Amino acid sequence: MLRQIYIILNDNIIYQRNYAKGLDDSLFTNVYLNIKKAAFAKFADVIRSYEFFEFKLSYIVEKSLNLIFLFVTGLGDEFKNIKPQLSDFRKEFLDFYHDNIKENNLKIVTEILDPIVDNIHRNLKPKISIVGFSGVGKTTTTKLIKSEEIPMQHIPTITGEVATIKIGKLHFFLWDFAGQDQFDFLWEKFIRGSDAVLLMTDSTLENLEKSKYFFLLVNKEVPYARLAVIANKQDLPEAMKVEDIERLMGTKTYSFIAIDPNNRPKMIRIIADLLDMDAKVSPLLKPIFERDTLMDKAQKALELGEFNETVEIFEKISNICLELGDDSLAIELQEKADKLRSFLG
Amino acid sequence: MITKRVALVGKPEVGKTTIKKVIFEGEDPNELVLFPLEATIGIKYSVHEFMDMKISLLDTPGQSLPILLQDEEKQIASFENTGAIIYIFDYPTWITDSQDIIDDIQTLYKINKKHDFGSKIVLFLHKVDLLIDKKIGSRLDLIGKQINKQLDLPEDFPIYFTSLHPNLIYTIYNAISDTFSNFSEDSSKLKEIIKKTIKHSSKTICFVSNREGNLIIQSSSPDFDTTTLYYLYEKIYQFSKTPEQPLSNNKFINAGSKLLCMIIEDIGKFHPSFKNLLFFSETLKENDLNEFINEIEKELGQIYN
Repeated sequence: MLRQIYIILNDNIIYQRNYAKGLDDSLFTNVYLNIKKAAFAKFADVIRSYEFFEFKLSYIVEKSLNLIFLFVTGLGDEFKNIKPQLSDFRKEFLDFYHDNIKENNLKIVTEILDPIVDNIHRNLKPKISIVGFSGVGKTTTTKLIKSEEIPMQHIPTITGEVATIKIGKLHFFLWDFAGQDQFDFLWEKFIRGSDAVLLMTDSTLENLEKSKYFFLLVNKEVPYARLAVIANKQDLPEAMKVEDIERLMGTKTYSFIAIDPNNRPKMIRIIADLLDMDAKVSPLLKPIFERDTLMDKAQKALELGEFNETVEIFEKISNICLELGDDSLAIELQEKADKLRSFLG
Repeated sequence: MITKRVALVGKPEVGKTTIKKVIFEGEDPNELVLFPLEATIGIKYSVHEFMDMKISLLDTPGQSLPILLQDEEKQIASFENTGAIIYIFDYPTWITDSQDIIDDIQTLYKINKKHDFGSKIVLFLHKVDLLIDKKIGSRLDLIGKQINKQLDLPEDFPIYFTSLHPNLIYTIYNAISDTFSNFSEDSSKLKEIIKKTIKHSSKTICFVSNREGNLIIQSSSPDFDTTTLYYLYEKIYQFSKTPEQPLSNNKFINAGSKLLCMIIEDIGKFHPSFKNLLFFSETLKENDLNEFINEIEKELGQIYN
């Protein structure tokens, strides 16, 4: 998935778009100096790709203009797919701005560039896979996201289905897998190229134990995909608690009720949270942004010894987390608030 | 000054030489990540000063690891008189090919026993920056336990999670300094004192950092929640980076799933190898921790004054 795009002219960032967490400012400075050195070396390739920790950095350089286009993607994105996007983007950009750069009066119009870049995001096929055994609610969730009528009767999915979902202006491809064992030979193929994998469970112990199989599949086929367990059917009395599921599975777990149509934004937020999407991408992501801002605030208050304020913020975040389906974090923060309160006496 | 030999062992391209270059030769990790080094050919020796001793470091070529693990003569040449054998493996290989790594470590264990080298085997799980997980503390803890379980050997090996990522660079410094400090007499003495002091406490951990801000001692009560460790390392590193920030108000620290009471004391006056003594506890209050510090300082005073 495309996480960031930078255009750098004469060592200045003239355009930047963030879709998800990528290089922060200090990291960018560090990386840029090294890339510049490589890109402007005498016989260097014009277009290249590097793995840089959890990211893949791909660039194309216009030496005569001292211009670099840099894409930050996940490690799962293949350079052969990124390459044509880089070339096209350079061409499109230069068609527009070449003369301006030459004449030294460059004015970037984001209204023009943003849609082009959004399209690159789409062309790189950001993929979310929903896996899990039969009857746990994968198709219901897919339908929920697509805002289709929610099936109240279980109709097994044959092989798989692809839908698109939109987060803000961005398109994601959602792959819904057939959960029956007789299709398991297909799973390996279907899961490839996933940026995020949602392991759907019905929150029963039996299903959870069985579902650990999918960890092997994910590790083998898409080791760099982001993985979360969805504890579906939390409305049923026999459902295990989210924090217990998280402990059992050792993976981030979100609570969910797929048959509730009001949960559509919740699922979108879960996906965005998992991918560390930038909050500006969609107004729906506001709670995530709020949570992160409050976390920083709580951290500062705690460091300054303002414990009353910290308690208040912790409880605020705890409520947001419940809304986000992050029950275990909600409980953690409530416990922390209680602990501080007891200290205050 | 005593000299200790330490051997770096691991498969090709896991980053043995890169670690050495970043830590001891001050090279830029970003550059080394973008422009990888050539394979090491033949064993490379280098000597480095650390605390009250000299460390003689052996960098073994990954390509010849299979030979090293079979050829007794080479083993004796490489591992005889080594204080520690550091086996470095990376996270991507661990998840795709864990059995191969388990085999390597088990063989190393057997070699160490057979020749009676008496080396400490230490594991570095490198490139943990590739483990993107919202619950990273629990994940690392889980992986650590899994590794020792799968190794199925009479003793558990210390496992350090390391990375050269600019935001995680302290992990590799901590891993190296903690491993090396085990050979230092000064640090061993202090470690004993700390162990004795916190022996009967619950859910409490103590660290000692050196002037560079790296951890040289870590000692905890057995019931300490190790999933918070990763966050503690990060916080300690941040403190060491911003010494101008007053620590007096920092009574509590947010470490992953837990809120811990914390206290810091500068013990540099006793020995130049030490800097901060840090306590974190889930159950104990500030006063209790202060008492620990008093006790430890009293004993240090007797040794060094």
